[in-house]
Amino acid sequence: MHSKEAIHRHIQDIMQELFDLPPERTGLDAQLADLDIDSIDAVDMMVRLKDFTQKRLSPDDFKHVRTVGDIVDAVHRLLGDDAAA
Amino acid sequence: MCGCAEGGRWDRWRRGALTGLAFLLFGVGGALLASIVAVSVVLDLRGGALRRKARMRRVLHRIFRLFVRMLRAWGLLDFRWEGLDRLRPGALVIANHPSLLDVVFLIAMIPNADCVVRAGLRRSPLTALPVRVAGFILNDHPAMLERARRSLAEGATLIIFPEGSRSPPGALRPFQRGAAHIALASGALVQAVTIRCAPPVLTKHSRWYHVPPARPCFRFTVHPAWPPQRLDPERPAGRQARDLTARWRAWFASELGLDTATGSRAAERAC
Repeated sequence: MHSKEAIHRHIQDIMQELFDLPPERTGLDAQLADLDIDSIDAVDMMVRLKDFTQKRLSPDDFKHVRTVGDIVDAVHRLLGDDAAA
Repeated sequence: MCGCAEGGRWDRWRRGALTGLAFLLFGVGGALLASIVAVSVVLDLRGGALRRKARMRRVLHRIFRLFVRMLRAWGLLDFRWEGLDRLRPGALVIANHPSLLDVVFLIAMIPNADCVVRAGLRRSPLTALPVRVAGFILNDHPAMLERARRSLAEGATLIIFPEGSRSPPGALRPFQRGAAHIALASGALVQAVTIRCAPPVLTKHSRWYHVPPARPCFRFTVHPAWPPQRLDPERPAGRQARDLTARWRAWFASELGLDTATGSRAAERAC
């Protein structure tokens, strides 16, 4: 079971690799709109997150995502569902 | 030679009246004509959707070419096209976007032009019908990349404005990355078209009825095609699109005499 901190760190790694964003800019409060992430980037991120969570992701999982923290919560929720089942 | 004639009050009044008429003609006449053609194109059952689209685009091309020549004949503007012989089918055309008339001119210049358009254009009454029948690609469509790639593979010349909407006068907007993703995904030739307009007309901040002090002069330059950009499978596509977009923007800023950092005009340019 992944902790939120571990998930956040992993997401920061993904964003550094995909978008050249340093960890200073991808704190939990960082607004995705400020990070210049467009819809094509979001798809690329979802592919990475799919590999990470080993789960099928649907756009609905991320519909209300506005900040990096929201992504962490969404992923945490997805991984938690598995344990709860 | 592109004539930038300075006129007096009578001249501005006359141009104002003709501008109103031109808009009316474009709006009503164009939509009517496009509808008639669209119906006839749809009814003509020979050939598949591909032929219908190509036919509609040819019609749009001819109408727009007639329209801009009419605008010139009425003394509303002047224009100069350079490098038309450099145009290639199946190429991605990227252009800066100073004025509302840009896309009208580009379609007038390019026989089989496809276009990536803002979703808003599909809803606007003036542009909805031509956009639909010509099969233009909506930029927010989930399969936009695939549609663009297919269009280029079919031999269309795909027009895209990386700025997304019109430039503020004297500056260059940040470039969106859709065009770069299309270039990388399709491996198509990329051609830049630089658009200069002096004095500016139908810009982001001017009203449609605003008549410029002198007759505007548009200058379109089709630059030699850049070689295809292959997507490097080793690096993330997003990074490559960012690099490519940055290079393109720097090139446009340099070519048009705009400051790269802030995008503000370095010096006033004559037509």
